[in-house]
Amino acid sequence: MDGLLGNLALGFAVAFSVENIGLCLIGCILGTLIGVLPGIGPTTTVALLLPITFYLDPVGALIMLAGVFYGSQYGGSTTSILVNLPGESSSVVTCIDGYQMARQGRAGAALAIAALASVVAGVVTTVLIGLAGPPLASIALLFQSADYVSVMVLGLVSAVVLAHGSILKAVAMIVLGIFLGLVGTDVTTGEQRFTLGISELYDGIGFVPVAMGLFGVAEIIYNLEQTRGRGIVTATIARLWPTREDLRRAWAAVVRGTGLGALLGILPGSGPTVASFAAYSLEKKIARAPERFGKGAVEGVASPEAANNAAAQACFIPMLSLGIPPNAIMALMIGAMMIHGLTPGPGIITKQPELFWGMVASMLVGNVLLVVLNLPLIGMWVKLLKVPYRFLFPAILVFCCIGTYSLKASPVEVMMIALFGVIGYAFRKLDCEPAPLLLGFVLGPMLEENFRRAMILSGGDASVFVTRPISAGFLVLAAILLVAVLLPAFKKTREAIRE
Amino acid sequence: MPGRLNRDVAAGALFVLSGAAGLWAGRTLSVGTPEAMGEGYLPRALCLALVAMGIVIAAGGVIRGGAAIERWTVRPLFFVTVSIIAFALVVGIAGLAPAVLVAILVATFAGEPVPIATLAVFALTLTTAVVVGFCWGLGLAVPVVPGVYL
Repeated sequence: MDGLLGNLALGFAVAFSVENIGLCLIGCILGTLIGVLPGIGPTTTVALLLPITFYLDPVGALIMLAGVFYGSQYGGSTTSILVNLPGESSSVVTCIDGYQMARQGRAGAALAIAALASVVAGVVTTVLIGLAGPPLASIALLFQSADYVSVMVLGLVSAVVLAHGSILKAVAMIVLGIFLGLVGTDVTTGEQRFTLGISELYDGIGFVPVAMGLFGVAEIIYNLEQTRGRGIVTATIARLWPTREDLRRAWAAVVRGTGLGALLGILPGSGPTVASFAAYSLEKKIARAPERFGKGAVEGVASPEAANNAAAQACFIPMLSLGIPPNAIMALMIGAMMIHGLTPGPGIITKQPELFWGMVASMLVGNVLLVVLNLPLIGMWVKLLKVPYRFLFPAILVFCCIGTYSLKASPVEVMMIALFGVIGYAFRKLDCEPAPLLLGFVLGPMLEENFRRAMILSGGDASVFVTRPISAGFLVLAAILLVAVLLPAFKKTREAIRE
Repeated sequence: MPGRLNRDVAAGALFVLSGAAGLWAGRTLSVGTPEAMGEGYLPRALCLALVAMGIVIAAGGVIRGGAAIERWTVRPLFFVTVSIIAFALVVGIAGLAPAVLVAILVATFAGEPVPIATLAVFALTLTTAVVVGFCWGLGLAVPVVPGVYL
């Protein structure tokens, strides 16, 4: 405990530097902003900001990107409640009861409950990161190549299990992602692979253009196709503060939502969206009067909002302590670390304590900032909904182009954005999600390196993956997950979660 | 409807094609042995897996049928792509400001029509803001027009 306090003190010293608190604030405001605006999500924004972070120091960069991610969890609920329009996929369930509360003139209460639930969940889960991160990382130091391969396999399998839609398609997307990750010069033999003679590809396909194309550009094309102007009706905010009765009903729901969210956030492949759906169904299931749900039940706002924010923070646990991204956003964060020459993994906490603890402390600061920011500014955020998309998307496109160009001054890399934009759009049309591909792309080189090393050490004997206890444990977990997803009962809930 | 080109059949075909292309492009890479893998070992294994999964996905689509492919709207796809390529081509020759301007102008064709006067004001404002923000604010080392740095 003493160590934790000392470490937190170090963290706060980092987080409270003028530059970092500014970056945290920028990240939170930006996150809230994109959370409010439908059609542009945190994954896209983090991808867009990647090149800009190149100009910051690594701690500041990660603090800002993290702020965008959890900030969007706050912003997303605002539009769900006020105009029945989820700003983020993780706020979809908040619409159900939140909008009903708003229609009854209790919009202020709903917004306040959502913000308070988020901050409680955020703070609790951040403390959890501080407690669970270091011991997890010290276990991870015992890992050998074979164990790394297995933990990555577990990560990829759970990405499949909790993704939407066809399992086989998700697996194929991962395999394609790993393959794309291997393009470039082979580190072991020095041979060129699949570079087609293009010198820009000798170092591999750039992560930034792939992420921007698959998420930023593909999303723009898709949005332009789906929506031509949105009708928006703004509800009035009658009273801001929830009643005593509201708070009494909400607090237990917040606790349950936080627990569920933290658990689902740590699991690879899951994340805020799944957590919010799970929390809502749990509340409805254990409620004494389930018929109140859908008609403005406070628990229906409190629990999912706590869960999505808890999950958003808990995602950082496997990313920071194992170096394994549990979802696409964390894969982007790893990309940001690699841009700065940091190797994500168990060594980060001991070798870069100011980075780990600085992030933990900044999350605590950021969550408080967000509540302070959100309650008075709700009216302003709603006005932002009136920015027409036809002015928004050219700006996003230009940011993508400049951002990528600024990294290597390479026109070829800029063209890669267009290529991956088209690929992302095509796959989306065919019900194939881009997130598993990006996860495979990030893990591909790491996976190959460790796989080859493990096979060299074992003399070509593949049984090493099941005879090492750590490795075998991960593989068993992966197998259990796969079997579970094929069972009919689980399949049904998984489909229910699909939007 | 079974047999029609639905989402599953098309997706499966796309995976088979990518896998086959990978196998062909990597045909000269050495595979090696499990003990000492060559640079072609894992890529080839992945491509074979892609082809196999693609066949299964497509077969499932043929037998069970699948959701029909949504109509493609060519307009946003075309103009967004061209806008990015235009940026890439112009930026090296004429500098950042013209590239941004061209990209914005092309991109607006992808969305709802914007009145010409509004478009002019919007494009010039955004270009100025972006150029000042990146070149001056972030110190980006890209010429605004050839030879001119902020």
